[in-house]
Amino acid sequence: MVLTIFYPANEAEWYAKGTAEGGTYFEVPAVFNPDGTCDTAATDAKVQQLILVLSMKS
Amino acid sequence: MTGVTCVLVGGGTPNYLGSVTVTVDTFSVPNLTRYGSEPPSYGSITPATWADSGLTISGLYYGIITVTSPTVYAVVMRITGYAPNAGWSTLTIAGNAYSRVDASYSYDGTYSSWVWSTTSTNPFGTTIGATKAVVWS
Repeated sequence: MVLTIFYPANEAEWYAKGTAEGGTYFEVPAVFNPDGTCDTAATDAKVQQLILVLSMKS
Repeated sequence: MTGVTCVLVGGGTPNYLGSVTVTVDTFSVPNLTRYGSEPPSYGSITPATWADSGLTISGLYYGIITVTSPTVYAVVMRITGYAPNAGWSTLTIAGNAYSRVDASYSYDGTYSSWVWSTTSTNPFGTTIGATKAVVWS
């Protein structure tokens, strides 16, 4: 899957933003480490969950 | 005599604040169950337009996805067309409040979607034909 994610530099930036396959733009509230840096693994998991939810067609 | 006439046509930010009524139905296929509405597939949303934005509400539902482990539970709001991730603060479904800033947002060129990952609270309930108030504030 083609996925581009831009992680927030700090908590003030709030969202991770990017594009998924097909050009879908997304904004996901990022997960932060205790030191204020972005927890990229946990944030990735939220992005993957969003993509899963949106991919399930009725 | 000279003068300048300024006429403003259109413009401004659409109003996304308002309310609708969802008549609850369910949709189920292997690994996926939903409660709420995705007209015209199941259930209904009245009115069909999101406040005075001119955009159609294409889905308000609670989904249970079992294709992965652990099971994914999500409240989903889907709008046909582009709407920015702004202009409202809280979505309230039958008294259950969901903050916009807690939602994951996407726009795929056709739909604008907001997804709240949740645990096990189904704000629409499981009673088919029940009506639930949905409010944007």
